[in-house]
Amino acid sequence: MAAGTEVTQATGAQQDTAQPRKAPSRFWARVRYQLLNVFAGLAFLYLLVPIAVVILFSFNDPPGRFNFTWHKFSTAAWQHPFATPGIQDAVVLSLKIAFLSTIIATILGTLMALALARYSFRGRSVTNFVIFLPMATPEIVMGSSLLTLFISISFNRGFTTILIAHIMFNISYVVVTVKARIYGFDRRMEEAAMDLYANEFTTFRKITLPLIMPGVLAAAMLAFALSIDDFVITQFNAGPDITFPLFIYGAARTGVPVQVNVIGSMIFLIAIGLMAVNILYQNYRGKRDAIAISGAVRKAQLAEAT
Amino acid sequence: MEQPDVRLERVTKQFGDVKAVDDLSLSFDRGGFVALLGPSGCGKTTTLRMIGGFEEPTAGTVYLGEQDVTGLPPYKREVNTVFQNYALFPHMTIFDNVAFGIRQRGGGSKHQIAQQVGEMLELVQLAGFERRKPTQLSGGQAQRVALARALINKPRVLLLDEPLGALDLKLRKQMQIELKRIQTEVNITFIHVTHDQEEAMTMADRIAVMNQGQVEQIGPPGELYEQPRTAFVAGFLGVSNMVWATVTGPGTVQLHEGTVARVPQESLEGGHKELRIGVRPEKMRIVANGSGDGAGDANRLDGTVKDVSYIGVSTQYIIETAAGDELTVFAQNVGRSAERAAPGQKVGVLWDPEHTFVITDTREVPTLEEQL
Repeated sequence: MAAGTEVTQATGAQQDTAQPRKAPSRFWARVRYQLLNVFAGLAFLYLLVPIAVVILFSFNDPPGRFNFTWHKFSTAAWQHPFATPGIQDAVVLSLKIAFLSTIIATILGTLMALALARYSFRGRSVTNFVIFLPMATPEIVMGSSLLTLFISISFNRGFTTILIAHIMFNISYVVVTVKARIYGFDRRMEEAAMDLYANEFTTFRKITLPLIMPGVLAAAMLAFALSIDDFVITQFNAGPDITFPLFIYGAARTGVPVQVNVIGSMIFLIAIGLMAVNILYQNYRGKRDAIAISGAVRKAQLAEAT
Repeated sequence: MEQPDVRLERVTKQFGDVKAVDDLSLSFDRGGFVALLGPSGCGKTTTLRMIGGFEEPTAGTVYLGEQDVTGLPPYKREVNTVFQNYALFPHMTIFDNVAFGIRQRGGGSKHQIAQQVGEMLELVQLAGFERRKPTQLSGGQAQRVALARALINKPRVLLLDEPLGALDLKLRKQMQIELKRIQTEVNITFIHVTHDQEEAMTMADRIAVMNQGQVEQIGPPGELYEQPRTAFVAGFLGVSNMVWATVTGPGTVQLHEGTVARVPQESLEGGHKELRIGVRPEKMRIVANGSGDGAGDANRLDGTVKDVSYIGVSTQYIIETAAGDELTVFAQNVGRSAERAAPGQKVGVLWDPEHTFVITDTREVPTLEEQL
């Protein structure tokens, strides 16, 4: 017994001597851990403060024509988001262009991505490179070159030229996004469908398209976002037409109406809302499958028992 | 005679400079279970894919029954495939996966489809799994779904491309028995591609051993094992001992170090002079040096024990002959362990003449590496 106590004492003493060295390291570990949280918090702040300011100032009642200093809380701008002359036309034009260019670019880009990822043909690597060019070229160069092209073939600038320009740069992003999804695709899935009496078109509709759909949707969302806020290229090729970004730029010279913040906030909130719906739907689907399975398992167990 | 279910006539498939399948003619009888066995790159999968319609032969014709199906797409062939890694549709439930084929062919009312799917899932012992997704299945279950998805279409022929390759050993054994049961039950021609000789022997009633785009030998597993015609078949199916010999008379050969051995007379009818004789390791037995014990009609070859390994049910001996050939002998562990020969000991190896097979081709035996 006595020897036993001695031993514990001895180890206790050792621990005592070890303690002072250990304590600071634990302290620093905690600091380091907290520091990570602090950095993460700062990063979020950095990302979110500008958006928060936009939303906050949409409730401002500015003293002058410039919505730059906080004056008074007001919901006037939210009640009449299109009160500023011209803003409604600009928003509608931007939405039209964004929808059309997204649909066309997504269809063309998906088909191109399929061709590029699936088949080897003469000129494939050249096509891959050319697809990449609009992303690598500075927007200002693209915008001005396009303008040069339209002028030299004496094509009137307006809705059509904006649409053409947006489809052009959107296609690149769609191709790149969808191609990434196709590379992760097991070709045997399609062989299996054809083996099960589905012809090429049915196979595409029932197997290929659903499986690359997440990539296609991501590409479409990216294209929409790129189109709706493009300024540089649109500026060159818009002619007399005014999209929402062009409207804000023009307005900023004579005064920024609160409505600009309101519409900006709306776009942001709609995007957040869509994402939330998506997450909720995914969760619901996961749960529904889980319920279906536990039901099936119970049924199987019952069948076994009887 | 009945028309074979599948017939390949002088089929060649070329990928660039490589001939994956080289002038292959092969026919598969109705209701049989045939294994295409061979090392990777021997052309077995390409052969299967040409029957399924996933590859076009460079030359030759593929017949299903009497119909020439060369050039027809997979969806116009009465053939279904169980793919390696199963290729289940991940976005569909098990029910929709299994029902895919009959729905494509416009097969019946909702109720009829549900009934057929239910029957199929019962056949593969997965009743109650209808609403699961493929990602929620184990490997063995996915394998069964793939099987049900193919069989529900009642194809003329079922193609299986290394169907058990992704399963662990125990499950694989279980599925081998299961597959054989299902095949007997549905009575459909199965063509099964594998590189696993044991798998082929367990399930198939005929095995076609393939090598370099050609069939080396085709026959029932027992025949291939007992009477391999080429060194490749002898080496690929199990372990075999082969030594060079010269024909000296009807039914007798002389081994190169001088021993005379007797072989079945009819095996020498080819008229070859220099050939190899072979014996399976379990058909040989070891006797003490000098003793003529139990020799009788048996052939005898003397040598030195080089290595002994105890494997439980049997003991594996490596015996080196005077000519430097190494013989592998499997001895059942029926006696006591003290009776085992020790390394360095001089022993005699005995075997019955009728267990001797004769190899007349001169190609080398595949090395282990080539087999893999």
